Amino acid sequence: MKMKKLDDIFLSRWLNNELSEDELTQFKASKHYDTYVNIIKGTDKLQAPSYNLNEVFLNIKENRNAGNSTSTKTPSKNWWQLGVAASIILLIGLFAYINFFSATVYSSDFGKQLAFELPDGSKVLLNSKSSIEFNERNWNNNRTLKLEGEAFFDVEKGNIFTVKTSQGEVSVLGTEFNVKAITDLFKVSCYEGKVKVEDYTNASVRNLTPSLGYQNIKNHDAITLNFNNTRPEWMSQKSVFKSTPIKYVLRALEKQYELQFEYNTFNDSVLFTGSFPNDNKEIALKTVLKSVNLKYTIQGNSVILED
Amino acid sequence: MPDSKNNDTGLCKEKSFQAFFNTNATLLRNFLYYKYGGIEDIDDIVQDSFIKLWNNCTKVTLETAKSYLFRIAINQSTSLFRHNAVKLKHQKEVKNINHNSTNESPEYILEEKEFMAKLENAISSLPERQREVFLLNRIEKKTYREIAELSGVSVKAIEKLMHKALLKLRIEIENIP
Repeated sequence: MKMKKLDDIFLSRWLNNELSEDELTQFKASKHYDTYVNIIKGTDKLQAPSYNLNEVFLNIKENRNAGNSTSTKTPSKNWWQLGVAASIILLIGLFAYINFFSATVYSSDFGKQLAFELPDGSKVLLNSKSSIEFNERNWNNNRTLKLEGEAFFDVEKGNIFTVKTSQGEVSVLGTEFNVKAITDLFKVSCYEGKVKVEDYTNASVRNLTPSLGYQNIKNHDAITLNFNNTRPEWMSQKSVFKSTPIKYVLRALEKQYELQFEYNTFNDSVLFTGSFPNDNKEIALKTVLKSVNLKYTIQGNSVILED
Repeated sequence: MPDSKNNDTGLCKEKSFQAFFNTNATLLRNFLYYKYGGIEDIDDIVQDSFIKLWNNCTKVTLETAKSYLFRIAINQSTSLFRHNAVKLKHQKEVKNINHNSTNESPEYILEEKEFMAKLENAISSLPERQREVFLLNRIEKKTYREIAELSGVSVKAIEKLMHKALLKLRIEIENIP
């Protein structure tokens, strides 16, 4: 192998693309060229073991704050004890932090209801496919929770109690009330005491007394409802609707029985007044769909509506 | 030792020190790793070098901090280390590509595996300066100038080391049957 300039940095220059065309042609013709290419290709596939920067930095901070006098080998006993003390404090701090800020979440599955008590003894009954999130530790100072779906509340006397939903919030002192907040539908019913309802979607506020309800469905006027029952119907294994667009009734069926309605065209804003049972899928489907003259076939979890 | 915690300029502040740490820690660790191998001792040295730097943060400017840091680390490690084997990992994505591609026969993959084993052996048997320079350039993608600055030598010296490293790797690999 003869090179014009086979100097002692030839290979370095090759790696840096600094060879002249002649040099490169000559180099490529040499019998070792392929090996060099393979070495570079192979090395480029390698990497050093991973390195956790955050962990190391915490160690550095800890050791420095503990007054480590920078010797690597056999740190003095005092230093070691300080290190342990510092890490224990850090751990306790961390736990408190997690507990203080992390939310407690209760959620119910399709067709299941969930009853639980809040830290102050207030009772919550969660309807199917709904969830509630609140801060357990700070509960007595701040009785605020987030609701998705539908729930019934029996609130103990105390500070103001607020239920926030994506569409509005409901606040009370001590009372019984029901909140339903699913997409485009926000409904509150008061069973005892006095309930304040703030609707985000139309920026209105109103107070409800027992047997009064408030309902706001997208594209319909918000209305005040009167009712006679002493508990929401869904608590008595029945779902009841008053002048509700059929599509929300179908959604309630979907949540209760883990179903999926499939349809091309039908007027899904037809109003439905009536109820369906929460424990019998066939009867529930028949009751709702017959009353609005819809024919259907069931395939597994899908209910196909015919035009 | 000056009470550096009360000095609020430049490197002494926790935020700026952490930023400096984040940009340089992995490089320092890999630099020592390529040079010496042996993870645990190296991680101790990296940690200790940063602590030393922090405690002396009033004496160092941001511009001089990096070379000061590398000098501390090198001084500490030369006395500690014998030659440890450098173990490197394949990158995951490379493996995945090989598994998924259709035009690579099992023979080819086997050959490649054998070659990688040979290559890793050859890299481990390089003299430490050559290995350090070669891997900083190939894995960390550092230029010859950057490598020269890390250890305070000329670019020409790095180019010579690179050349020697590659030559030695080639001879080593071609001589293994």
